Amino acid sequence: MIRKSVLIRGRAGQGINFTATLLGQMLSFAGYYVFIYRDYASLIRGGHNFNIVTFSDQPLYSHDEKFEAVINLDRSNQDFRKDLVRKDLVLDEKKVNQDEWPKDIPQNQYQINNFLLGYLAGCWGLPTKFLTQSLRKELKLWQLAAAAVKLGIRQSVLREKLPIYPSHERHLLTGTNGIVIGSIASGLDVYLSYPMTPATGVLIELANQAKQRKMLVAQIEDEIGVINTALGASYGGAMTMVGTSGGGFALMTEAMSLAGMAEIPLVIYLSQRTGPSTGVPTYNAQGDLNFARFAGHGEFPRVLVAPGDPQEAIDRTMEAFYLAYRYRVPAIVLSDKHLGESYYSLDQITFPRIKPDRFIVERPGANYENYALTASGVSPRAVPGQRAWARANSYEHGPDGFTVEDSQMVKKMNDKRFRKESGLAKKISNWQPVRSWGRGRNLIIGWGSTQGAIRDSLSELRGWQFLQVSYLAPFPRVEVKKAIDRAERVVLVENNATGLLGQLIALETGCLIKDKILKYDGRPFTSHEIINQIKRIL
Amino acid sequence: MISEFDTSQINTWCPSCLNNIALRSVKKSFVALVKDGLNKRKLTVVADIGCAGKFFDYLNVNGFYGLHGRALPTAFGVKMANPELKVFAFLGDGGAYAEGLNHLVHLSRLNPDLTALVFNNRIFALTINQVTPVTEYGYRGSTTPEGSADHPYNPLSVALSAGASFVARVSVLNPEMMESVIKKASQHQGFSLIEVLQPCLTFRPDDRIQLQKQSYLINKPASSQAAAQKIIRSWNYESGRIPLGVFYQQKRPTWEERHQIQNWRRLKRKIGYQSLNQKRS
Repeated sequence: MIRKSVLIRGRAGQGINFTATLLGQMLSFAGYYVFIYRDYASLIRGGHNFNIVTFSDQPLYSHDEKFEAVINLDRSNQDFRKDLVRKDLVLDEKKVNQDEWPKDIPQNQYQINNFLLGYLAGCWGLPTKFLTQSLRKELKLWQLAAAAVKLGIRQSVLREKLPIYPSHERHLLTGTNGIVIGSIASGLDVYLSYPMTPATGVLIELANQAKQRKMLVAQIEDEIGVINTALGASYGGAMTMVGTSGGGFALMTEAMSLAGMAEIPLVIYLSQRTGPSTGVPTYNAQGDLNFARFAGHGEFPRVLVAPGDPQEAIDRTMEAFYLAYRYRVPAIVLSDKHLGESYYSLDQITFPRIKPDRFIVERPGANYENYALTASGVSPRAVPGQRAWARANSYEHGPDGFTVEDSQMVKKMNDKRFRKESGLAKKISNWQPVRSWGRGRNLIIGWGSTQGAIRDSLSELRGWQFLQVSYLAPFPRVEVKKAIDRAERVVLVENNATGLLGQLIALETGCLIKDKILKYDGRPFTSHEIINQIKRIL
Repeated sequence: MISEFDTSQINTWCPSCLNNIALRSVKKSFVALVKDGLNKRKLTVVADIGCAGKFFDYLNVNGFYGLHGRALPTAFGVKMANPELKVFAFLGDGGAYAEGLNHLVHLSRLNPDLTALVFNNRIFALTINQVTPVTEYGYRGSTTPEGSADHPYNPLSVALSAGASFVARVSVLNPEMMESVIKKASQHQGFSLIEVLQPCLTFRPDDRIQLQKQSYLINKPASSQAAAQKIIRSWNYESGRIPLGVFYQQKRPTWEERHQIQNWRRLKRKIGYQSLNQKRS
């Protein structure tokens, strides 16, 4: 098996991300599975950033922290852990043979990057065509870059010839791409947001597709404005999504409760970063699970789903749209920086069998009531402009939508809203609310973006099964409890300080998980860390 | 017939509240709009929380009774979903000038085609008599036993500065004028702000007399923003004569026009699975 990692490090603005993307694409064109991890600080120029490109001829879902090669763009070597590198493959500008550098290629940072990429490809005997393919895809003026790449290949010395599998070219996708694809496939009309790392990627990508796909993508003055405008738009009949990170979601919580009370469908993309407060804005954490689960005053049903990879991001976003609009509840898609911004290889993109539907009644009758008391708790949805009065109310209300304070109606309406929970629970039970990998008497439980590193650790953990809990609300009690009851040892793996999923499992199932592997330094897990820690627990 | 907009909800404003006069004016305006050819099913009110929010329960039209301070963004969202709707937002001075001031500034700038009616009684009334940002210096409310130590700001001046394309002030004591200004505002394509001076007879009974004595009519909108500012700033919400009328009106493209908004519900989408499935590497 081949599994190698390349570290690309330097200052912000030197083209680290771009160089890593080109390298990842080249390897993908050469038939490798690729994972790219991006590590950057909250600044625009300078500072120390890096990317890790890990690749293998076998499927892989996470990065490693030992490197076969380094493309080093930062001469200061600040924070450079050289002990993690096989020293002889550190490529920097010193590799440039000045005498052979042709005059027609400017010797600027970007061409040096391309030169070093070519040099690395040459060391591994990879043909020029894969890099050229990547350059053509990413650059309008790719010829110059291709010349620099060829120069690098020419000046390199072959070390190890890597096999190529060119017929196996795959998708290279981020979680952000997955959310975007899933929302478009759900029939998204309106996306509203206020820029906040790491949720901004979805805003940017949707904004760039808005015209072509006839969507409205707009930036609103603040997150309170975002969600209240979105609820107005959803009430008005548009398929609507908002996106933010923890701080922005904190501002949205009052309106989250409004969505629950007024039964207005809404999908909320919540991408976590290291908190509390402003925290470590460009780094990762799974610290908002319980916040998302319980956000909003008063009690109301909601959907909370946390994908663990880009394909699941597509699936779960489409499910969230379906559930929000079918059941008239707010649905949160919980992601994080690591899933959102890392690149994963996918053999193919698939779509769940969910037909986009606004769930608006075609012809509301003369006696239409927006909050009709039904057995399922779901009232048919009409919108203004139809032949009915569509009345949404943040106050407690009767079936017709007018304000009430009457004790019986207050109870009836609470019961009606919570009746939706059984329909929701039944629906998600067909959608794999938990996923599992591997076999064994011992169980690792996790959720969200830790999925990749945990899956990659399984190959070295004999007798361990991994259970990923994808739905956090409604909570798949039966499935989770069954798996825990069956297991000999149970270990919780979470990217937070207190084991939030463990707390939720205790609340929902009564099962207490004592063994926890927690990481809360802003960095995602690698499979090696998980393997080592599990071995330590045993 | 204004009765077609009646509801059977019990009116919970104080007895003899001047909002009842305003309610009648609003219904008459709606009748006039429908008479002019508007499909009444397109009438949509978005209400804030407070005494002014209660219009929601007394108007038999589409409605969204939202959060305190957030009627404007919610109304904006409704227009975003369906630009064919005729949207009126009902707010008080608390929701519009305190909790939700930022939205007033931004909608003034963005110019969506909707009408905001801000019922200004210069106090938080429903929470029993507290000062708002337009209450005068020295006012003794339940939270300012020694009298308010702060002076008001001028929200109409702020809205105009932010680019509001229709700014007016009316008085509930002059219902005919109120109806005519609502009509002008709803014919205006863009964001129209109408401040409705509505003395609270329960907590501020003297305001009624002050409004009767001090107010005067402006016959036509000012010819420039600067001239409108001058009129608007002539009353500082504390003392002096109170101008009423349409202070400013300007034609400029609405947000919906600039963003090519459509009634999304009617859009039959073809999901381009093929294009979503393109190799991304």
